[in-house]
Amino acid sequence: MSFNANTAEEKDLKALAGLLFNGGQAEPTISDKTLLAKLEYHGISLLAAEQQTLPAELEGHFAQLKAMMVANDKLKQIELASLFDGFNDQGVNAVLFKGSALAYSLYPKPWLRPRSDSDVIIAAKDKIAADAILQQLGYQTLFAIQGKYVSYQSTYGKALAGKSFINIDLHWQINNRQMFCQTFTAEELASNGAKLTQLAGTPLRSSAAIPSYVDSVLIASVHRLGHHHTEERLAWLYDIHLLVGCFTELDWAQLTHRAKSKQLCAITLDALRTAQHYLSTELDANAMSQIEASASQFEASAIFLNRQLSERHYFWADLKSMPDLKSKLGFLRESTLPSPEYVRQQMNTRWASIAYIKRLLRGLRRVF
Amino acid sequence: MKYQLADHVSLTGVDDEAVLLDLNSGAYYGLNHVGAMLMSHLQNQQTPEFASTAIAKQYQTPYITVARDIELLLQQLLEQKLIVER
Repeated sequence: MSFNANTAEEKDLKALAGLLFNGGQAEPTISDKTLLAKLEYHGISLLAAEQQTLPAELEGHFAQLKAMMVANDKLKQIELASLFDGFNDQGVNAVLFKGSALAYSLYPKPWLRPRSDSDVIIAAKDKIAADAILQQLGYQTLFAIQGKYVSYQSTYGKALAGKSFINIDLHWQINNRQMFCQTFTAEELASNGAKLTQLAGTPLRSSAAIPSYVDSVLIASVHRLGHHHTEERLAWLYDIHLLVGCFTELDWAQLTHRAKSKQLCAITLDALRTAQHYLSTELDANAMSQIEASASQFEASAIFLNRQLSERHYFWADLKSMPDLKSKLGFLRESTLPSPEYVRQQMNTRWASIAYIKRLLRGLRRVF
Repeated sequence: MKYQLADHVSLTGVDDEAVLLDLNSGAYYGLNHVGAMLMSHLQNQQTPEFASTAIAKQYQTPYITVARDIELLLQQLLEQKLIVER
């Protein structure tokens, strides 16, 4: 990993990251509009506003944004409380993870951690029960590719009061990448993790499971490169910064052990070093040297460190990581020939044959 | 006269400010620190007069000025059905 201080992107990220700490200052040459757009893209608008590092003339904008985020978050918390009560009532062991879990367990104020959806993982055997609970609560399934291998999640949406909307990403595997899909099960996350006992200031009838901070660092590292390998968002690095900021010696030891056993050393090392570079995250030297030593050995997931590769390389690596020929063929078929209903809607045409041709051409452009 | 939040309204403290949220309509209202203090007094079953006295004292502002502002705010909150008489 290397950081070239001379590139515009690098300078930009450094300057934006500086706004998350006391004494930071926005570059005077940047327009307010551009600054706001960048802060929003990186998901750090209110975090920076909290540090009072932004131009004073934007104060009104952030006061409004904060009120909106607080209100929106309250509505979502109430909804999540109902959902988890529903899961518990029906015996579905669900774990809230990623952004929402961190917002409610790690951040001093949940609205400081923006997120477009709430991720929930269950065991595959609970899919039907979870779907029934979501439907009963008024959720609708959102358009997405379906299959045995090509996707391990469904997205459900529900309109809340006013213009608020909540999306629930229901996973039965932790990640859609074949290489990472079995990194954690819901059961493992729950047994290592903690419990949220209240949401929206109201005690839950029964608690909601969330991952441990150690597992959250691994999940964040996988998400950063496995799902978003073409972009670097400060909100995700800031998650890691806060998470390891809470680490004890034992946590560092557990992180080292789990990164090794799950073959995630290279991407975890990259995430930690990047957080350190931009956010001055304090890292444990002993744990880092152990992770670094293991990262130098072969790990299939290290392919994601090269962010310049075309999709076909990642696809091929994914395919290779699948356990048997049957699943590989299934994955290939579902990826290249999804259902006619899906492909018609995806390509916005009534004729499936045309939709398949359009999809093929788009796929080839993306792959080569 | 004493007031309380309507059943369908939630109040969330944000540092020294607050946000009132109508849970039915999704409409929300940001309150500055004076508004947040007023709501805190009302929730402690104090009268607007008591709140005005406390706020005037804290901000070293004439009671009459504070009482007038608070009356206006209460009127707006009542009109929006965010608070009701206790």
